[in-house]
Amino acid sequence: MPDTTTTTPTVPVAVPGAAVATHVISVIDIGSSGVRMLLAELKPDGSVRELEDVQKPLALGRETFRTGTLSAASIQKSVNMLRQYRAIMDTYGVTHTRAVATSAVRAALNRDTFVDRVFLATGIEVEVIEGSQETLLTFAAVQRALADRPDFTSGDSLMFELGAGGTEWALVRGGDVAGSLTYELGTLRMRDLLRSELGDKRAMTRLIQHNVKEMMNEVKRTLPFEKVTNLIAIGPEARFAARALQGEGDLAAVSAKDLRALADKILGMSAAEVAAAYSIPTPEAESLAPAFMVYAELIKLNPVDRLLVARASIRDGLLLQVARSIQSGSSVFFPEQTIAAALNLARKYRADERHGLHTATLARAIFEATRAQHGMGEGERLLLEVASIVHDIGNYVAARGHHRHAYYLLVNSEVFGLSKMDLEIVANVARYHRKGTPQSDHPAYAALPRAARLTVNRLSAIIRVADALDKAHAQRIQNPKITVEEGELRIDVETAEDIALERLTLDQKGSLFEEVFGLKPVLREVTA
Amino acid sequence: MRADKTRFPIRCAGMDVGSNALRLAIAEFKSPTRYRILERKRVSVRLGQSVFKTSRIDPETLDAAVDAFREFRALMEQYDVVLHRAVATSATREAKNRAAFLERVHTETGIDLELIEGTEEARLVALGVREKVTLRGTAVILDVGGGSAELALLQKGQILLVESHDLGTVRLLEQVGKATGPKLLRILRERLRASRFPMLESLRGHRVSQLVGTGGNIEAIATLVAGQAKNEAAKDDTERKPAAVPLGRLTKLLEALANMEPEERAKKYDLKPDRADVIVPAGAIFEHIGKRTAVRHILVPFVGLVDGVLLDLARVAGAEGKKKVETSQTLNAAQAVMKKYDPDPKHSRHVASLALSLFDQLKDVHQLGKRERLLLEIAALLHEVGNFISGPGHHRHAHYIISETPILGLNEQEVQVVANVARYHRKAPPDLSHESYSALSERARDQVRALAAILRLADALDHDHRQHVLGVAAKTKDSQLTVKARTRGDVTLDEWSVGEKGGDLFKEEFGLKPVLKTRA
Repeated sequence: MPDTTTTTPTVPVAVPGAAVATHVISVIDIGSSGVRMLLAELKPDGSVRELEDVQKPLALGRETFRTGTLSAASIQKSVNMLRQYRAIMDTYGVTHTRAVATSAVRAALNRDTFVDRVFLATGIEVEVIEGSQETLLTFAAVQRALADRPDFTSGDSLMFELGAGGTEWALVRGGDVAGSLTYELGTLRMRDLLRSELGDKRAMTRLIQHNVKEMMNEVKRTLPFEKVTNLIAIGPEARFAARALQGEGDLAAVSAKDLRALADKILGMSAAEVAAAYSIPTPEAESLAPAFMVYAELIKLNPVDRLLVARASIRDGLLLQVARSIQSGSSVFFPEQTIAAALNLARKYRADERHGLHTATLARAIFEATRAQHGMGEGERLLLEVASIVHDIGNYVAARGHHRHAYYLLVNSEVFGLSKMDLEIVANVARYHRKGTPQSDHPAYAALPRAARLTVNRLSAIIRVADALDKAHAQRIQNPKITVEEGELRIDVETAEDIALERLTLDQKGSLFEEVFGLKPVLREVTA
Repeated sequence: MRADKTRFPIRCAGMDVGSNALRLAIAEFKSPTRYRILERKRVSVRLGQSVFKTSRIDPETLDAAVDAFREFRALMEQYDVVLHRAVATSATREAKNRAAFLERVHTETGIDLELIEGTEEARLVALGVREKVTLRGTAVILDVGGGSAELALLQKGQILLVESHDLGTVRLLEQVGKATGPKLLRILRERLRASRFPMLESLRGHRVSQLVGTGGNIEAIATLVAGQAKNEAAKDDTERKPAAVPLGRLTKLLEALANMEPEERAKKYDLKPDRADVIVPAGAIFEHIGKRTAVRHILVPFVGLVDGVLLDLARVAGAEGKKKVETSQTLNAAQAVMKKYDPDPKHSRHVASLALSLFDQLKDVHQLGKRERLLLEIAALLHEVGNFISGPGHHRHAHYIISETPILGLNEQEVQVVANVARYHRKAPPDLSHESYSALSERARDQVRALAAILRLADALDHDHRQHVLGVAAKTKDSQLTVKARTRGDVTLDEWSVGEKGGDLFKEEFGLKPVLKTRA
């Protein structure tokens, strides 16, 4: 077994004020065409200095997107490569590591085997992350890179990453993410489409135009933007285009015309020739031309004349996240972006926004007052807030059974920054905000791992109380004082208004809370 | 008991199992719409009380309900009833032991009791109301039962939308618990204010010209408001003239009633004991909807679900001419769903017209009838709705939305056929490993495959979403289906799509390979 003491998969909680030593951080990104590692040090003053950037090609995506699994040979290659990375990490005396795998490993049915092999052989714990988490990380890096541009912090910007297996989109409004979306169209699919139409450039162009238009329609349907002021591309193809057309720099702007010309030039060469001419790995070379055609089409479909390319990558985001968690001790990254995305979802399904936000406020207050009872942390609190904001969205489908509809809508939606498992939990909590309580013969609940089921129980218990306290959707319970005493959860409010309905509803819906925490929720009116 | 060809006059019976009572009406029909009531019977059995509390019909209540059916059966024989239909609403629907209940009614009385959805309930009520009173402009019908409240929106007598809510009187009483007096009324009003009524929200500024109230409670209220005519209220009110209840009078009466205990109400107003308690929540619902629709009074026609059941029965037995009206109502409902989820339905509409054109030209190939044609049209109109949830898997989302959104005039099985056809408009073809497909009857599965094959081909003809294929002429020869298309503009993509994916299921299902020939 390798020595695991220097590899800390989850970030240790720092004692505030004690962060005097320099931390050495390594972040690893196992992508679909290569494995990349970034090493950096975090200085006591909070500044980050890059130490080394290691990149090696490995075409995992080509295999998993076509066959659905990773072969033994590919797993072995990955393990060998990560062993070398591990050796590099050891020479730097790395104190914090975070390793993530994206779409290629995510798409592999045997991804658990992959993760396990890597851990056993190198001690590196790889986390397979969702598309929306990928966007979150990259976005964090881009946001930092663009923070001083006024057009970015005031208008609506669309940011996207055209990956091999799919395209990630984020709407940035006033510098904050207002929504995100994964669209199932990536360079690999494009390439396959192109191959099937080989020789007929007109059909090929039409096919790309059609697919990009459909994608843009979906983006418009899902993300509520008015007028796009910036179209920002991230990802290796975009960085390549920026380099080829503009040279080095943190931010580049390229035109549709230049992109088309570059695509034509590359289409006239074989992948091996491209790889040799631009000294890039062959798998990456294959995805360039379709990517550029997509970029050009996107410029045409939006009221912009150029595409902005930010050099930031997912590794810069990972680095930022690890650094931030060392400094603050918090494991939750960018919660305000996740909340903004949840609100956006609630608006899409025309849920009562004020009720959702008030339920979230009340739920948070109950959460804080009962920390000793539930022992949950900030991650769960964020899920509770998200569930509170969106718990009524099922009404859009039909009022009857709207808790079930909310479940369906949520597991089929995306909320920026939440993983699939997070969303499953949120969807279950929304499902249990009314009617039946969690039960082992409900398939969606039973399918969750035990830890997640417990989280669902606790959060459902809290949301039912919070929702009951705003039964009238009139926000009458303001600033309640919540205490735990004598086996009761006491909710004391000063109010001149009649709160009989809230009290009554609490009597009916509070039983789960009593079952889960052994505390009976009691609403009391107190005089000032 | 249903005959293929019916001669009028004919005697029919309608039965309704509500949460508060079981009702029977026997009528003689001179024509599919003209009828005279011969007998009305109401037996008080409170299914709702046990179901809403324990989710089960308790044994005594079950016995009482079966006894009532025995009595109904005897009356039907006495009147020589030829056709009958019995429906059960929310209380039965929600009972876990409903299967046992239906079974007992069937074996002990021979009556097939049919479970209907809230929206079907609303449709039937509207049928009954329409025959009794003339509806002008925009009208809303509110039917308040023990387990649910149904709303129907009508325009010039045509049903546009129906909506079902959990707001039943027995259910509300369970919810408010022990509250009494002014507090009871306050809680009820609050509870209603917090409820959402998408139908009313969708009106946005359209004035409601009439609010029609049905159900025993509003009828009792109308009687009380009309002048405390105690004796008349107690009488069996066969064929009473419609009455109007001014909203102000309703509120006054409601407040007076709320201030009393149920026993006191029963005594003072001569109400049946099982009416005296639920009349307050019912009144509150009528008051709330009355205020929301800003009407001056509520029109009470003294007809209810049983009348609709009777009319529907006579219609099925007799007239074919009404079919067309019903079909257009069903299409209206489908289009309302389409617009809610698909803000730019040009493509869906175009695919629907191409699909119908193919369907009509290929009658010999598929040998399906008018009803299937309607299902195809609806599936085509709705095949894109899933995109609202998300692009990936939108065919599955369409299945979910259609399954969960009752479409007026389609029965449960037809809804499932439509949902499956929409689901199979792309990606994997029907397969018995798909749960919602394998759950269908064999006949329904045949319909799904045939209709999905046609829809896929029609969808491929507008793959581009630009409506460049204007019309088609289909010819079969040997094992080939030649589709000649009139086009405008570029159809490269549509051509590619027909060859690539539009034809797969079609070939499998009908043994014909579709080939597209274009001319501009």
